Amino acid sequence: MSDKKDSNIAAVVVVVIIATVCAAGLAFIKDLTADAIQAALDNETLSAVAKVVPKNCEADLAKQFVFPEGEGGLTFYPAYDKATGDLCAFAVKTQDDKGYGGRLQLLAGFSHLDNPEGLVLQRVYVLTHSETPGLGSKATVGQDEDPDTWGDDPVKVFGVNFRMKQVKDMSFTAKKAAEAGPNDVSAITASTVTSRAVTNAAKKAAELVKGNLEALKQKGAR
Amino acid sequence: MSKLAELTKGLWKENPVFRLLLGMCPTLAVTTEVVSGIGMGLSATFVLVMANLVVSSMRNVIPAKTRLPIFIVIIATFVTIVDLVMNAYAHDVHKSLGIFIPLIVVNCVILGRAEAFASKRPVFDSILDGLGMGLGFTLGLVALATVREILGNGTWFGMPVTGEGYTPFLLFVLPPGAFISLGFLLAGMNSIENRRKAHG
Repeated sequence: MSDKKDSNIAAVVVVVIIATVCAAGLAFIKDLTADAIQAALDNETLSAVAKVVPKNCEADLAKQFVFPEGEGGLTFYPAYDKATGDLCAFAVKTQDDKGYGGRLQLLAGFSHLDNPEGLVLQRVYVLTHSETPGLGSKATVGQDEDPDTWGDDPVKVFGVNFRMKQVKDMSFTAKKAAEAGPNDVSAITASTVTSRAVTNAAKKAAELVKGNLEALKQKGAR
Repeated sequence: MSKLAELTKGLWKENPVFRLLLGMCPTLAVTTEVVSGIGMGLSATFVLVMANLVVSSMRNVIPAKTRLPIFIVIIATFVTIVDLVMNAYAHDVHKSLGIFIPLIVVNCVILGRAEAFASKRPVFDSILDGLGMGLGFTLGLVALATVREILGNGTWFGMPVTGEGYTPFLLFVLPPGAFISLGFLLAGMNSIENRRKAHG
Protein backbone atom coordinates (compact mmCIF):
# COMPACT_ATOMS: atom_id res chain seq x y z
CA MET A 1 0.00 0.00 0.00
CA SER A 2 2.78 2.36 1.01
CA ASP A 3 4.78 1.47 -2.12
CA LYS A 4 1.80 2.25 -4.30
CA LYS A 5 1.35 5.61 -2.56
CA ASP A 6 5.05 6.40 -2.98
CA SER A 7 5.00 5.62 -6.66
CA ASN A 8 1.93 7.85 -7.11
CA ILE A 9 3.68 10.72 -5.41
CA ALA A 10 6.82 10.15 -7.50
CA ALA A 11 4.72 10.17 -10.68
CA VAL A 12 3.12 13.49 -9.74
CA VAL A 13 6.48 15.00 -8.76
CA VAL A 14 7.98 14.08 -12.15
CA VAL A 15 5.03 15.69 -13.99
CA VAL A 16 5.38 18.87 -11.91
CA ILE A 17 9.15 19.09 -12.48
CA ILE A 18 8.83 18.56 -16.25
CA ALA A 19 5.97 21.06 -16.53
CA THR A 20 7.96 23.65 -14.56
CA VAL A 21 11.05 23.23 -16.73
CA CYS A 22 8.92 23.49 -19.88
CA ALA A 23 7.14 26.62 -18.59
CA ALA A 24 10.47 28.27 -17.76
CA GLY A 25 11.83 27.44 -21.21
CA LEU A 26 8.74 28.86 -22.87
CA ALA A 27 8.87 32.04 -20.81
CA PHE A 28 12.45 32.51 -22.04
CA ILE A 29 11.51 31.94 -25.70
CA LYS A 30 8.49 34.22 -25.41
CA ASP A 31 10.68 36.97 -24.02
CA LEU A 32 13.20 36.40 -26.79
CA THR A 33 10.63 36.63 -29.59
CA ALA A 34 8.33 39.32 -28.13
CA ASP A 35 10.00 42.26 -29.90
CA ALA A 36 10.22 40.47 -33.24
CA ILE A 37 6.54 39.44 -33.05
CA GLN A 38 5.47 43.01 -32.23
CA ALA A 39 7.62 44.32 -35.10
CA ALA A 40 6.07 41.77 -37.51
CA LEU A 41 2.55 42.76 -36.41
CA ASP A 42 3.35 46.49 -36.72
CA ASN A 43 4.86 45.93 -40.16
CA GLU A 44 1.76 44.06 -41.25
CA THR A 45 -0.52 46.88 -40.05
CA LEU A 46 1.68 49.61 -41.54
CA SER A 47 1.84 47.95 -44.94
CA ALA A 48 -1.95 47.40 -44.96
CA VAL A 49 -2.59 51.01 -43.90
CA ALA A 50 -0.15 52.29 -46.55
CA LYS A 51 -2.31 50.57 -49.18
CA VAL A 52 -5.51 52.44 -48.29
CA VAL A 53 -4.17 55.97 -47.76
CA PRO A 54 -2.86 58.32 -50.50
CA LYS A 55 0.74 57.67 -51.55
CA ASN A 56 1.95 60.97 -50.06
CA CYS A 57 0.63 60.03 -46.61
CA GLU A 58 2.27 57.89 -43.94
CA ALA A 59 0.64 56.32 -40.88
CA ASP A 60 1.95 56.76 -37.35
CA LEU A 61 0.94 53.68 -35.34
CA ALA A 62 1.63 55.53 -32.07
CA LYS A 63 -1.30 57.84 -32.87
CA GLN A 64 -3.91 55.10 -33.42
CA PHE A 65 -7.09 55.39 -31.38
CA VAL A 66 -10.49 53.77 -30.95
CA PHE A 67 -13.62 55.78 -31.75
CA PRO A 68 -16.16 55.89 -30.20
CA GLU A 69 -14.31 54.78 -27.10
CA GLY A 70 -15.31 51.48 -25.50
CA GLU A 71 -16.88 48.38 -26.97
CA GLY A 72 -18.08 48.62 -30.56
CA GLY A 73 -15.63 51.40 -31.40
CA LEU A 74 -13.50 51.16 -34.56
CA THR A 75 -9.71 51.51 -34.64
CA PHE A 76 -8.46 54.60 -36.51
CA TYR A 77 -4.96 54.93 -37.94
CA PRO A 78 -4.28 58.58 -38.76
CA ALA A 79 -1.87 59.20 -41.65
CA TYR A 80 0.18 62.34 -42.11
CA ASP A 81 1.49 64.13 -45.18
CA LYS A 82 5.10 63.04 -45.71
CA ALA A 83 6.14 66.60 -46.66
CA THR A 84 4.16 68.83 -44.29
CA GLY A 85 3.33 66.42 -41.46
CA ASP A 86 -0.34 67.47 -41.50
CA LEU A 87 -3.14 64.97 -40.98
CA CYS A 88 -4.18 63.89 -44.48
CA ALA A 89 -6.10 60.60 -44.19
CA PHE A 90 -7.60 58.02 -41.89
CA ALA A 91 -7.41 54.25 -42.25
CA VAL A 92 -10.28 52.68 -40.32
CA LYS A 93 -10.36 49.04 -39.24
CA THR A 94 -13.98 48.03 -39.64
CA GLN A 95 -15.86 44.76 -39.77
CA ASP A 96 -19.09 42.97 -40.51
CA ASP A 97 -20.17 39.73 -38.87
CA LYS A 98 -22.51 38.65 -41.67
CA GLY A 99 -20.02 37.39 -44.22
CA TYR A 100 -20.71 33.95 -45.67
CA GLY A 101 -18.07 32.51 -43.34
CA GLY A 102 -18.77 34.86 -40.44
CA ARG A 103 -16.70 37.89 -39.50
CA LEU A 104 -14.93 39.84 -42.22
CA GLN A 105 -12.46 42.57 -41.29
CA LEU A 106 -11.19 45.29 -43.56
CA LEU A 107 -9.36 48.59 -43.64
CA ALA A 108 -11.08 51.54 -45.32
CA GLY A 109 -9.05 54.64 -46.18
CA PHE A 110 -10.56 58.13 -46.22
CA SER A 111 -8.93 61.31 -47.50
CA HIS A 112 -9.97 64.91 -48.30
CA LEU A 113 -10.80 65.54 -44.66
CA ASP A 114 -11.62 69.27 -45.04
CA ASN A 115 -15.38 68.79 -44.79
CA PRO A 116 -17.78 65.82 -44.56
CA GLU A 117 -19.23 66.54 -48.02
CA GLY A 118 -15.89 66.29 -49.78
CA LEU A 119 -14.79 63.11 -48.02
CA VAL A 120 -13.29 60.52 -50.38
CA LEU A 121 -13.15 56.75 -49.84
CA GLN A 122 -9.69 55.89 -51.15
CA ARG A 123 -10.15 52.12 -51.23
CA VAL A 124 -10.72 49.13 -48.96
CA TYR A 125 -8.35 46.29 -48.05
CA VAL A 126 -9.69 43.00 -46.66
CA LEU A 127 -7.62 41.98 -43.62
CA THR A 128 -9.28 38.73 -42.50
CA HIS A 129 -12.14 36.67 -43.87
CA SER A 130 -13.44 33.11 -43.95
CA GLU A 131 -15.21 33.33 -47.31
CA THR A 132 -15.39 30.43 -49.78
CA PRO A 133 -12.20 30.13 -51.84
CA GLY A 134 -12.87 31.06 -55.45
CA LEU A 135 -16.27 32.62 -54.70
CA GLY A 136 -16.49 35.05 -51.78
CA SER A 137 -12.70 35.23 -51.58
CA LYS A 138 -12.81 37.12 -54.91
CA ALA A 139 -13.38 40.18 -52.71
CA THR A 140 -9.59 40.16 -52.24
CA VAL A 141 -8.61 39.82 -55.92
CA GLY A 142 -5.94 42.34 -56.86
CA GLN A 143 -5.87 43.97 -53.46
CA ASP A 144 -2.13 43.47 -53.05
CA GLU A 145 -1.41 44.95 -56.46
CA ASP A 146 -1.19 48.60 -57.40
CA PRO A 147 -4.80 49.90 -57.83
CA ASP A 148 -3.64 51.69 -61.01
CA THR A 149 -3.48 48.24 -62.64
CA TRP A 150 -7.06 47.33 -61.68
CA GLY A 151 -8.84 48.91 -64.65
CA ASP A 152 -12.37 50.18 -64.03
CA ASP A 153 -14.50 47.04 -64.26
CA PRO A 154 -15.92 46.12 -60.81
CA VAL A 155 -16.79 42.64 -62.13
CA LYS A 156 -13.09 41.88 -62.65
CA VAL A 157 -11.77 43.57 -59.50
CA PHE A 158 -14.29 43.99 -56.70
CA GLY A 159 -12.15 46.71 -55.08
CA VAL A 160 -13.00 49.06 -57.98
CA ASN A 161 -16.40 49.56 -56.31
CA PHE A 162 -14.73 51.32 -53.40
CA ARG A 163 -11.86 53.09 -55.11
CA MET A 164 -11.69 56.91 -55.05
CA LYS A 165 -15.41 57.41 -54.43
CA GLN A 166 -17.05 60.50 -53.01
CA VAL A 167 -18.63 59.21 -49.78
CA LYS A 168 -21.68 61.49 -50.20
CA ASP A 169 -22.49 59.93 -53.57
CA MET A 170 -22.26 56.28 -52.52
CA SER A 171 -25.44 54.31 -51.88
CA PHE A 172 -23.54 51.52 -50.07
CA THR A 173 -25.97 48.99 -51.54
CA ALA A 174 -24.66 45.81 -53.16
CA LYS A 175 -26.66 44.78 -56.22
CA LYS A 176 -26.18 42.23 -58.98
CA ALA A 177 -23.69 43.65 -61.48
CA ALA A 178 -26.35 43.92 -64.21
CA GLU A 179 -28.68 45.95 -62.00
CA ALA A 180 -26.15 48.14 -60.18
CA GLY A 181 -26.16 51.87 -60.90
CA PRO A 182 -23.00 54.00 -60.92
CA ASN A 183 -23.29 54.70 -57.18
CA ASP A 184 -24.12 51.13 -56.16
CA VAL A 185 -21.73 48.30 -55.44
CA SER A 186 -21.62 45.60 -58.15
CA ALA A 187 -21.77 42.34 -56.23
CA ILE A 188 -19.37 39.48 -56.94
CA THR A 189 -21.11 36.80 -59.03
CA ALA A 190 -22.64 34.12 -56.76
CA SER A 191 -21.31 35.90 -53.65
CA THR A 192 -23.92 38.49 -52.77
CA VAL A 193 -23.56 37.78 -49.05
CA THR A 194 -19.82 38.49 -49.11
CA SER A 195 -20.32 41.60 -51.24
CA ARG A 196 -22.94 42.85 -48.81
CA ALA A 197 -20.64 42.23 -45.82
CA VAL A 198 -17.77 44.22 -47.39
CA THR A 199 -20.20 46.99 -48.34
CA ASN A 200 -21.72 47.15 -44.86
CA ALA A 201 -18.31 47.24 -43.19
CA ALA A 202 -17.23 50.10 -45.47
CA LYS A 203 -20.54 51.86 -44.84
CA LYS A 204 -20.09 51.61 -41.07
CA ALA A 205 -16.68 53.27 -41.32
CA ALA A 206 -17.83 55.90 -43.82
CA GLU A 207 -20.80 56.96 -41.69
CA LEU A 208 -18.65 57.19 -38.57
CA VAL A 209 -16.04 59.33 -40.32
CA LYS A 210 -18.63 61.53 -42.04
CA GLY A 211 -20.65 62.12 -38.87
CA ASN A 212 -17.71 62.81 -36.54
CA LEU A 213 -15.10 64.35 -38.79
CA GLU A 214 -14.17 67.27 -36.55
CA ALA A 215 -13.88 65.13 -33.40
CA LEU A 216 -11.77 62.59 -35.31
CA LYS A 217 -9.48 65.28 -36.72
CA GLN A 218 -8.91 66.59 -33.20
CA LYS A 219 -8.08 63.12 -31.90
CA GLY A 220 -5.79 62.40 -34.84
CA ALA A 221 -3.97 65.75 -34.79
CA ARG A 222 -0.29 65.60 -33.93
CA MET B 1 16.67 -2.50 -38.36
CA SER B 2 19.61 -0.48 -39.72
CA LYS B 3 19.99 3.23 -38.94
CA LEU B 4 19.27 4.10 -42.56
CA ALA B 5 16.09 2.03 -42.49
CA GLU B 6 14.94 3.88 -39.32
CA LEU B 7 15.25 7.11 -41.28
CA THR B 8 13.74 5.99 -44.57
CA LYS B 9 10.80 3.91 -43.31
CA GLY B 10 8.75 7.11 -42.81
CA LEU B 11 9.24 8.18 -46.40
CA TRP B 12 7.46 5.23 -48.02
CA LYS B 13 6.95 1.98 -46.09
CA GLU B 14 5.43 3.64 -43.00
CA ASN B 15 4.61 7.03 -44.49
CA PRO B 16 2.34 8.74 -41.91
CA VAL B 17 -0.01 10.24 -44.51
CA PHE B 18 -0.26 7.47 -47.11
CA ARG B 19 0.45 4.27 -45.16
CA LEU B 20 -0.45 4.93 -41.51
CA LEU B 21 -3.19 7.52 -42.29
CA LEU B 22 -2.20 9.56 -39.24
CA GLY B 23 -2.52 13.34 -38.85
CA MET B 24 -5.38 13.49 -41.33
CA CYS B 25 -6.88 16.73 -39.96
CA PRO B 26 -3.98 19.06 -40.90
CA THR B 27 -3.32 16.94 -43.99
CA LEU B 28 -6.74 17.72 -45.39
CA ALA B 29 -6.95 21.28 -44.06
CA VAL B 30 -3.68 22.97 -45.01
CA THR B 31 -2.98 21.39 -48.39
CA THR B 32 -4.66 24.06 -50.52
CA GLU B 33 -1.21 25.53 -51.24
CA VAL B 34 2.21 23.83 -51.43
CA VAL B 35 3.82 26.59 -49.33
CA SER B 36 1.38 25.96 -46.45
CA GLY B 37 1.99 22.21 -46.78
CA ILE B 38 5.76 22.68 -46.47
CA GLY B 39 5.32 25.09 -43.53
CA MET B 40 3.13 22.60 -41.69
CA GLY B 41 5.34 19.64 -42.61
CA LEU B 42 8.57 21.23 -41.43
CA SER B 43 6.93 22.52 -38.22
CA ALA B 44 5.69 19.00 -37.46
CA THR B 45 9.14 17.58 -38.33
CA PHE B 46 10.83 19.90 -35.83
CA VAL B 47 8.33 18.96 -33.12
CA LEU B 48 8.66 15.23 -33.95
CA VAL B 49 12.46 15.26 -33.76
CA MET B 50 12.61 17.33 -30.57
CA ALA B 51 9.77 15.45 -28.82
CA ASN B 52 11.33 12.08 -29.76
CA LEU B 53 14.74 13.27 -28.53
CA VAL B 54 13.44 14.45 -25.15
CA VAL B 55 11.05 11.53 -24.59
CA SER B 56 13.72 8.99 -25.52
CA SER B 57 16.40 10.55 -23.31
CA MET B 58 13.97 10.62 -20.36
CA ARG B 59 12.41 7.21 -21.01
CA ASN B 60 13.89 5.73 -17.84
CA VAL B 61 12.57 8.45 -15.51
CA ILE B 62 9.10 8.97 -16.98
CA PRO B 63 6.61 7.01 -14.82
CA ALA B 64 4.31 4.71 -16.82
CA LYS B 65 1.19 6.05 -15.12
CA THR B 66 1.72 9.68 -16.07
CA ARG B 67 3.53 9.19 -19.36
CA LEU B 68 0.76 10.56 -21.58
CA PRO B 69 0.39 13.92 -19.77
CA ILE B 70 4.19 14.21 -19.78
CA PHE B 71 4.37 13.49 -23.55
CA ILE B 72 1.70 16.11 -24.16
CA VAL B 73 3.50 18.71 -22.03
CA ILE B 74 6.76 18.08 -23.92
CA ILE B 75 5.04 18.16 -27.32
CA ALA B 76 3.04 21.31 -26.41
CA THR B 77 6.26 23.04 -25.37
CA PHE B 78 7.92 22.47 -28.73
CA VAL B 79 4.74 23.40 -30.61
CA THR B 80 4.56 26.69 -28.69
CA ILE B 81 8.20 27.35 -29.55
CA VAL B 82 7.43 26.77 -33.25
CA ASP B 83 4.36 29.02 -32.94
CA LEU B 84 6.32 31.89 -31.36
CA VAL B 85 9.38 31.63 -33.60
CA MET B 86 7.29 31.32 -36.76
CA ASN B 87 5.12 34.27 -35.74
CA ALA B 88 8.26 36.34 -35.25
CA TYR B 89 10.34 35.33 -38.27
CA ALA B 90 7.96 33.77 -40.84
CA HIS B 91 4.89 35.85 -40.15
CA ASP B 92 3.12 35.24 -43.48
CA VAL B 93 3.38 31.43 -43.30
CA HIS B 94 2.26 31.63 -39.66
CA LYS B 95 -0.79 33.61 -40.74
CA SER B 96 -1.73 31.18 -43.49
CA LEU B 97 -1.42 28.13 -41.18
CA GLY B 98 -3.36 29.87 -38.39
CA ILE B 99 -4.97 27.56 -35.87
CA PHE B 100 -3.27 24.47 -37.34
CA ILE B 101 0.06 25.35 -35.71
CA PRO B 102 -1.24 25.06 -32.11
CA LEU B 103 -3.16 21.97 -33.22
CA ILE B 104 0.13 20.16 -33.98
CA VAL B 105 -0.02 19.32 -30.25
CA VAL B 106 -2.82 16.85 -30.94
CA ASN B 107 -1.40 15.55 -34.22
CA CYS B 108 -1.48 11.82 -33.62
CA VAL B 109 1.71 11.21 -35.64
CA ILE B 110 3.69 12.97 -32.91
CA LEU B 111 2.05 11.42 -29.87
CA GLY B 112 2.04 8.12 -31.73
CA ARG B 113 5.81 8.15 -32.32
CA ALA B 114 6.52 9.27 -28.74
CA GLU B 115 4.43 6.42 -27.33
CA ALA B 116 5.21 3.66 -29.83
CA PHE B 117 8.86 4.40 -30.56
CA ALA B 118 10.74 7.04 -28.58
CA SER B 119 9.61 5.86 -25.16
CA LYS B 120 11.19 2.45 -25.83
CA ARG B 121 14.20 3.09 -28.05
CA PRO B 122 17.63 4.75 -27.83
CA VAL B 123 18.01 8.48 -28.45
CA PHE B 124 19.74 8.34 -31.84
CA ASP B 125 17.24 5.87 -33.30
CA SER B 126 14.40 8.08 -32.01
CA ILE B 127 15.85 11.17 -33.67
CA LEU B 128 16.15 9.29 -36.98
CA ASP B 129 12.59 7.98 -36.58
CA GLY B 130 11.28 11.52 -35.90
CA LEU B 131 13.20 12.97 -38.83
CA GLY B 132 12.05 10.25 -41.22
CA MET B 133 8.43 10.41 -40.11
CA GLY B 134 8.48 14.22 -40.27
CA LEU B 135 9.95 14.28 -43.77
CA GLY B 136 7.47 11.58 -44.82
CA PHE B 137 4.64 13.71 -43.43
CA THR B 138 6.01 16.75 -45.30
CA LEU B 139 6.30 14.69 -48.50
CA GLY B 140 2.69 13.55 -48.13
CA LEU B 141 1.46 17.11 -47.61
CA VAL B 142 3.46 18.41 -50.58
CA ALA B 143 2.17 15.62 -52.87
CA LEU B 144 -1.44 16.33 -51.90
CA ALA B 145 -0.98 20.11 -52.04
CA THR B 146 0.63 19.86 -55.48
CA VAL B 147 -2.42 18.09 -56.91
CA ARG B 148 -4.86 20.48 -55.20
CA GLU B 149 -3.04 23.72 -55.96
CA ILE B 150 -2.45 22.92 -59.64
CA LEU B 151 -5.97 21.62 -60.35
CA GLY B 152 -7.84 23.99 -58.02
CA ASN B 153 -5.91 27.19 -58.55
CA GLY B 154 -3.78 26.70 -61.66
CA THR B 155 -0.61 27.52 -59.69
CA TRP B 156 2.32 25.70 -58.03
CA PHE B 157 4.22 27.47 -55.25
CA GLY B 158 2.00 30.44 -56.14
CA MET B 159 3.32 30.59 -59.73
CA PRO B 160 0.92 30.11 -62.66
CA VAL B 161 1.61 26.78 -64.37
CA THR B 162 -1.50 25.96 -66.37
CA GLY B 163 -1.62 28.89 -68.78
CA GLU B 164 -4.33 31.45 -69.49
CA GLY B 165 -6.86 29.04 -71.00
CA TYR B 166 -7.26 26.88 -67.87
CA THR B 167 -10.28 27.47 -65.67
CA PRO B 168 -9.34 26.36 -62.13
CA PHE B 169 -11.33 23.37 -60.91
CA LEU B 170 -12.46 25.04 -57.69
CA LEU B 171 -13.62 21.81 -56.05
CA PHE B 172 -10.01 20.80 -55.43
CA VAL B 173 -9.24 23.66 -53.04
CA LEU B 174 -12.51 23.03 -51.18
CA PRO B 175 -12.82 20.27 -48.53
CA PRO B 176 -14.33 17.62 -50.88
CA GLY B 177 -11.32 18.07 -53.19
CA ALA B 178 -9.02 17.18 -50.30
CA PHE B 179 -10.78 13.84 -49.76
CA ILE B 180 -10.99 13.07 -53.48
CA SER B 181 -7.30 13.87 -54.12
CA LEU B 182 -6.20 11.89 -51.06
CA GLY B 183 -8.33 8.94 -52.21
CA PHE B 184 -6.69 8.87 -55.65
CA LEU B 185 -3.19 9.28 -54.20
CA LEU B 186 -3.83 6.41 -51.75
CA ALA B 187 -5.11 4.25 -54.59
CA GLY B 188 -2.00 5.09 -56.61
CA MET B 189 0.31 4.27 -53.69
CA ASN B 190 -1.47 0.97 -53.03
CA SER B 191 -1.32 0.02 -56.67
CA ILE B 192 2.44 0.68 -56.85
CA GLU B 193 2.96 -1.24 -53.61
CA ASN B 194 0.91 -4.22 -54.85
CA ARG B 195 2.80 -4.33 -58.10
CA ARG B 196 6.10 -4.16 -56.20
CA LYS B 197 5.03 -7.07 -54.00
CA ALA B 198 3.86 -9.13 -56.98
CA HIS B 199 7.21 -8.66 -58.72
CA GLY B 200 9.32 -8.92 -55.57
